[in-house]
This record gives sequence, structure tokens and C-alpha cells, in this order.
Amino acid sequence: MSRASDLHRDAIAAADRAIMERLRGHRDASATQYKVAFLAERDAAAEAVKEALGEPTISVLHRSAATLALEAGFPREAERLVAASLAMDPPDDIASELRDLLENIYFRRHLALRGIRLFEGEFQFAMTGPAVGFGIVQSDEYVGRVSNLETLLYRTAERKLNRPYRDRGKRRGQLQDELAIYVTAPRAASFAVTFRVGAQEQLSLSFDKRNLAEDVVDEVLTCLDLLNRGQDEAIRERIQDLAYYTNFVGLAKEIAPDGKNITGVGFTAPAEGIPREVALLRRRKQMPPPVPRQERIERIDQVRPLPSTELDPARDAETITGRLGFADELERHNEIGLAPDGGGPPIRIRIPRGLMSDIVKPLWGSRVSVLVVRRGDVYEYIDHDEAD
Amino acid sequence: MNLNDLRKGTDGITPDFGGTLCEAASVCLEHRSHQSGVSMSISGGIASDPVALTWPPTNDQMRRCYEDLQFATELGAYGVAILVVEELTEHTVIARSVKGTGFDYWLGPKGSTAPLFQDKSRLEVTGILDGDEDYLRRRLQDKMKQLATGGVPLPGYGVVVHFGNPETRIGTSP
Repeated sequence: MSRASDLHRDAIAAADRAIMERLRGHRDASATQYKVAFLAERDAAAEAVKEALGEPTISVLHRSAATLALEAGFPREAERLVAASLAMDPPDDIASELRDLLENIYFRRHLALRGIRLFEGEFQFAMTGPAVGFGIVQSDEYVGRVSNLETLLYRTAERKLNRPYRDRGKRRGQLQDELAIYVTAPRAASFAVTFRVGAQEQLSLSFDKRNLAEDVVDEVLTCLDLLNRGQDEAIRERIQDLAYYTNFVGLAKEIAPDGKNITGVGFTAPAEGIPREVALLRRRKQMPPPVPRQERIERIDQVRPLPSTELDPARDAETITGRLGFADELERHNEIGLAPDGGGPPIRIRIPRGLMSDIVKPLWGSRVSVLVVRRGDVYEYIDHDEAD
Repeated sequence: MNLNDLRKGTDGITPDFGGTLCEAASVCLEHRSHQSGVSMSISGGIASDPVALTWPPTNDQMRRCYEDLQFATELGAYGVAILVVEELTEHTVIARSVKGTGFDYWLGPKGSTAPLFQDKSRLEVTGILDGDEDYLRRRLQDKMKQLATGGVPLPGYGVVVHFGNPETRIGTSP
């Protein structure tokens, strides 16, 4: 057996241990094993070149070593390994994976704190993509996300405090005085900002003796992490109240990357040992509609009863594009009007709880595509996307 | 088909890691309210009769350990897929490399002596806890697209393991 094989075997054994430590919740021990694995795999990659083992072995070992370097917290080493492999002659599929890894490495660099020390109740929010330059960003990409993130923090605090979902009315005077949110000036490159969430001492003490601010930050990051990894069911189980769930998904989709101007948004929070990093790379179009699948089926079922096996939200729904306008605020506070592009009278769309004030109202006057199912004179909302 | 057989390991999987795959798959199956001995259908490119899937009972410690169900689903799916490939083909997992938060699995003929990743093909696996037929079909299509770009000499396998309604669907490439 070659020396490269021996080193690779050692690296995989250490990576196995890292994964098992991670499963046990031992973050520090996992990081230590990842470092052992990285050093062995880096040497295996160098030996494979020296021994002329050929492709795909050389590029697979480089990719493996770079991935381990990233897990071990050595992004510069990861970058060097990817660059070295791409400079050789990797097979097309491995080359493509190396490029994807390089993008991930660059995004992780944005999430690095770079001398910033975060305290409990704080987290860093960073964005990357073509709309982000060195210390400059398209204002609508930045302002909208920061505003939605602030709303998400307040909504999460209300949920954690077991308050009923607030359909209408300002939060000022209720929660805003109790839970203060501050944002620092943006830092260059990734346009990173620090959010500081502070709770009144009295409120914190009443919250099961735990700090509400830390709990809110932890909850927001956990839910965003689940959403990023496609664990949509786990979020539904975690957020039992349908209005809060709908609101969370609606806001998260506004914060998520669009894949064009913004390709990644990320969060870094203090944690014991290594800071906790959550990279939200799932694009908003890949995310589920705010209305969960079962509720979508029920909405369609009310319209055209079918055997449940034949219900298909994707097939039975339709998309209508037009300009969003006011409905009668007093009479029909859960409805909006949409002036369709092709002309004709405005159509009425019923909005589910959790979306109107935070997600739909800010779009009034905008051109949007709305996924709906018809129910007599009214359409039931399922999802939307900005059309312009 | 006994998940506990994973504890024997293969050329590319240590007995310890095989045990991890076995535990992860068992937790996923019990999470979906299945009991050892449940019938699992095998469909796709190398379809066979349904098999009875058995595993040792899980405990609270295991369930807590695999609380991250997304991660457990990924590991458990590899466990089931490896057993199915070993049982129904001439291939076995010879090597692994690290990719993302997990591993990339490489298959070769049983008893292969080719070094590391030379003359190996890839095993692309995805696991789902719940989902309908359309979702299962799309996930397999995604895996087959990934394999189609590989250009490897041996046939690769794309596998989707469904823990909700136990099924292993296999695609082969080319």
C-alpha cells in the first residue's frame, strides 16, 4: 500500500471520529479531530502527486483535504489546496466541485469575525454576491434584509414569550421597549454588520431564568439553519403556531439570497469554543411556500374536493402577475387586490395569517407574481415572487 | 437485510463507522414509527423483491445522539444503500473521501487492488424521511444528473432511500 493510501486511511479515521464527536455535541473535540484529519489528508494529497497516482485520485484527495481544512477552521489552507488542484488537470466533475468549494471558502471568509468580538445576544450578519462591493452595496438589497431580520427577531421574541400572533398594530410600546435591537455600521467587503439584541433584566428573569436575547438569537439561527438544510418539516414541528410559521418562512425568503445579486447571507454568533456559523445559501426560489403543504392541500380541497391522493398544489394552483394594491382595509383586512397585467378588474386574493403586515404590505404598489388557487370570486394565496 | 451487518465494515468502511450508519438508519426508521422487520421495496435500475429490513433496537441515548435528523437521514441512507448495493451487485464501498459535511463514497469490484480512487465509480445517495412519489422521483433524477457528469469507467449508482414508506430506489449510470 502506498504512503498516500496510509495517510488517507488515517485522515478518514480521524474524520469519522470528528463526525461521531459532532453527533455527541462535542464541538471542541470534533474540531480537534478535523484538524488531525486535515493534516493527514493534506500530506496524502502531496504524496499522491509525488507518487504520480494520477486522476481522479490527486484531485479527490485535494478536494477532501480542502474540505477538512475548512471544517478545521483553516480557510486559507483550503483555498491553497483548491487552487493547487485546479492548476493541475482534474476531471470535469471534480473540477466543478472544486469551484463550488472555492465559493464556499470565500463565503466562509466573509463570516469570519476578523478581530470583532461578539458578546452574548449579538451576532454578525454578512452578505455576499455581485451586488456587494468593498464597503458598498445596492441599498435595496441591504436595507430590506436588515429590516426583515429585525422583524424576524421581534416576531421570534413574541413567540418565545408565548404571546399570540399579532396581526395588526405597532409593536412599539409593547415589545420594542422591552427588547432593544441595535445595528452597528457596516464593515467592508461582505458588508457585515453586528446585531445586538438586549433584553430588560426584569423580562429576562421572568423568562425561565434564561436570557431572552440569547434565546431569541439562538432560535432564529437554528430555524434559518434548518431552512437552509431543507429540513422544512422540522421547522413546522418547531413552530407549532401556523401564523408564526407562515411569518417565519415569509420573512426568511425575503432575507435569503436571490442567486443573482446576492448569492449568500450568513450569520456568526458567539458560542463556546468555535463561533457558530450559519450560512444561508438556499435560494428563495428553492424554499417552500409560506403556506405549509398540508394547509395548501386543505385550501385547494375546499375549492375543488378531490381524493387526497389526487391533490397536487403545484398542478391545481395558478400564477397571476400584476400590480399589488389595497383591498378594503376596514372590511376585508385579510385581502389584497391585484391588477392583472393583461387588464381587467382587480382580483381579490385572501392572504393567510402571518403574512399581511410584515411581508405583503411592504409590496403594495409593486409588480408581483402570486401563486393562487381560485375559490369563487376570491383567490387563496399560496406563494409570491417579485416580478420586476 | 440486517442493518447490523454494517458493523462488519467493508474495505472502505471501518466497523465503528459502519455501526454509526446502522444506528443512524435505525433511528430514522423508528422515527417514522417502523419496527424491525418492516418490508422495504427495492425499485429502479436493479429492482428486486421487497426485503425485510431488521435492526437492533434503539435507545434514548442513540435518539439523543442523532437528534439532528437531517444528518441522521444522510448517514442512515448511506447505510441502507451500501447494504443494498453489496447485496444486489458485484460492487462494494472501497474508499471514501470527505465532501461537504459528510463523505463521498467510491465503489469498486469486490477484492479490487487498484490504488485509492483509480478505476472506481461513485455512489450518490440521498435520504428522505417523508415525501411523495414526485419528490422521490425528482431526488433520484438529481442524483443521476450528478453521476452523468462524472465520466467514470465503471457504472455509478444513484440511490434514494425513503424512510417514511420504506423504499430504496436505484438508478445506474451510464
